[in-house]
Amino acid sequence: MPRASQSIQRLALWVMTGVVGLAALAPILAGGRPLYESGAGAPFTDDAETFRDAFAVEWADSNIPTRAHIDTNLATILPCLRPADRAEIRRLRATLDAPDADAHAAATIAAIADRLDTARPLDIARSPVLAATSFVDGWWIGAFLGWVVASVVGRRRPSARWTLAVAARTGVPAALLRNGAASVGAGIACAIVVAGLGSAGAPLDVAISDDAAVRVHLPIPFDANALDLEARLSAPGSVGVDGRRHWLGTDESGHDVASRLVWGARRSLVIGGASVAVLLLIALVVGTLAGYARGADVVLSRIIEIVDAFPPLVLVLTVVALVGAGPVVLIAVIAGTGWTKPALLTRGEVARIRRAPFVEAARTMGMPLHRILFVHVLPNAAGPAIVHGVFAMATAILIEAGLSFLGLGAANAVSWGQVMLTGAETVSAWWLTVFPGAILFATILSLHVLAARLRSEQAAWEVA
Amino acid sequence: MSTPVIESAHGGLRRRVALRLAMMLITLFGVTLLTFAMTRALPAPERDLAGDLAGVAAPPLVDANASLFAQYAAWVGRTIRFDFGASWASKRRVSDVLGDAVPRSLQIMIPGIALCYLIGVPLGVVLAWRRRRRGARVTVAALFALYSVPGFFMATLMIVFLTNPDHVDWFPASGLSSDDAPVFGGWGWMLGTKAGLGFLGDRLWHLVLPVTCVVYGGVAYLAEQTRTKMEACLAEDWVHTARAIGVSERRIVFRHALRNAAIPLVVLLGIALPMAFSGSVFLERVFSIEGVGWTLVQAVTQRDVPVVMAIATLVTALTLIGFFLADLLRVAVDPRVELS
Repeated sequence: MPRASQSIQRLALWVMTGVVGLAALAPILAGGRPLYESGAGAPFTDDAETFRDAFAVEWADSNIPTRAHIDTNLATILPCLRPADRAEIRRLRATLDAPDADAHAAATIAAIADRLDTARPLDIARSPVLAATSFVDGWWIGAFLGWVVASVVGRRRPSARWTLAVAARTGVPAALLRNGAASVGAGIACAIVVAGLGSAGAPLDVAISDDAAVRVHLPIPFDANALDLEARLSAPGSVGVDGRRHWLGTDESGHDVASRLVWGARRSLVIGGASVAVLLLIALVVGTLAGYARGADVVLSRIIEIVDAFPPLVLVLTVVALVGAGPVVLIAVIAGTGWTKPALLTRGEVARIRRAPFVEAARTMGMPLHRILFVHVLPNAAGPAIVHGVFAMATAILIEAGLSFLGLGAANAVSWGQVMLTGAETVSAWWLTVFPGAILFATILSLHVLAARLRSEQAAWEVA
Repeated sequence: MSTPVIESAHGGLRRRVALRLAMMLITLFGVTLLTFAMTRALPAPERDLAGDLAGVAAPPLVDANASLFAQYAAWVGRTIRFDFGASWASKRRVSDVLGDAVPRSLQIMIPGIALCYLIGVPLGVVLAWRRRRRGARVTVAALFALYSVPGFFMATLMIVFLTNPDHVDWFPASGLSSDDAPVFGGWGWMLGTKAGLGFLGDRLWHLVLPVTCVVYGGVAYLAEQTRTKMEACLAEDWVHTARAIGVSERRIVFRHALRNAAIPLVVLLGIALPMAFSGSVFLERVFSIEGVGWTLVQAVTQRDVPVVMAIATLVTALTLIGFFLADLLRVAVDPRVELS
């Protein structure tokens, strides 16, 4: 039994590492922009054309909306230019905001067009590190590295001294830190929360030039939002526009499924991680107060009972109907409904601990209440709530996917559930259901396995 | 949530039930206050829409001119009479809309929940009893994995692979009856006449996939719960005593241990009440069954506020009733537990 379950747990950890890796490395795994291009001629001819003709005419007709048009146009081009070109075009664009811009508008727009004509795309093959930082938001890389470090450190049994020092400073229960898998679990939470604090990152859709001699694409050579209209509903592995392959097929609008799965991992992890962070924060504070002070318990228990009476899914749907399904709303609702169970767990633990000799001793020594609660009581009582947090993360990911599956997710959001929705609408395309479903199932199962492992280790520790 | 108090409190059972009821009333007040606040914060329907509600008296959800207390009292009064106004989208009474939807949800959820218990609990007992066998360990792992399969994934897989001529089409893809099926003509008609039996068969055929989707997760959960509780019971000292004085293994497992292990399972029935009412949002959506869950999603998509609020209010009320019934059940089943 132990051997079999250990290999399953290791597998679960690998699956989660894979999912976090997909999310963190999404910009260099999937995207329409080639990894390397050589012999490129004038890649921005079309955009130069637009500037030269359309915008000059438009400016002459009406002043106000043209600035916005130019800005939208530049927003997609600028990130692909070398810094010198980028700065020069920014400078030219700024002169259009000057009071007497109308007089020079035609000349300025022509200057931008000329610059675009001669501009070369950022050559990411020259400097992979620079290219990666320009592409990948550092938050995600940081999160992934944090994850890997947590996994490695978690394998080596940390010394008791190190464990206690970290436990005392962070409030993470020493019981959790003392064993490997538990540290990894904590690492998961930290890494994903860090990632959630950074931007969710929008995939970049860039037109590529036609006359490159050599071109190396990313492993998944399509942007998540790009439409390959010629290759709608094509099967896994089929060839799409200019010879690029749709490894996992396309949906009925021509979106590349593989790319959407990679970018969708971000949304799942951000919403899962951030809502669990908020939920645990509420739960630990409320649970500690309720367990420690009888007076607070009467009120807080009533509040918990009231919140519990609202079924999570119905409440989520109601709120989505009223305010929409932005990520912040989702995180708030999931956290707002999910904190009661871990709060009750913490309350029980605190009520058990508050009469323990070391807490009595702290009281007798005249320690301030907040120090007793958050330094002595909480670190010893937070274990069950944190384990529950891993389960809650699986639930949060499910709620996010489910909402998108019902067609109630945020508009244009790239999400696993959204791909499954297209699968349910087009039953002949099995790949639209099987692939996103499999990755969702693997994520949920891995989190459940890891949570179960954490729980059993905790139980074993408490017995010992 | 109430915590069971083992040591005896003062007063009789009746007094404690009354106390529990009083606590529930406080909770109910809080819940209704919150729901009312949400209703009040909602946008009112546009005037022409409200004026167009066919033949249905549609007072505004709340009368903005009355005092806050009067508004709350009026809202509670109407809610108790199941008067939720008219749907903005379909222009029908919300109570009529729900009257159509609830039986459809119940047809899936009642057999589903019943099968969950009928399969899950015996399975859990057997798994605990035969826990050292290889087959039992594999089954436990399989159930753990099955529990993690998202319901809407399973449902869509079924639609894609079992109702699709490209693969196999053994089952209907949507709805509760075929287009050419006769209209329901009463229970006697259904069980007594040939057309009735045909109707019943057709209905059961349509129910296979949705009910399976309800059942697999429930079975996995209940079997795991039963197994854990049973194993804990079987490890207790009195089991050794019973064995030592010669009680048969069968009797120990099914008579003594199961009675102890069944207590939390009975309590879970309380949660089944709101579940049975609200149906499954995802299953009804995938299988196009126009039950409560389907109605809710439809209403959310169309921003049909009265319908959304009515369903939210009713499910919340049923959840509270379910909690209360679960507490009563616990007392009925377990003589050691008293209401807090």
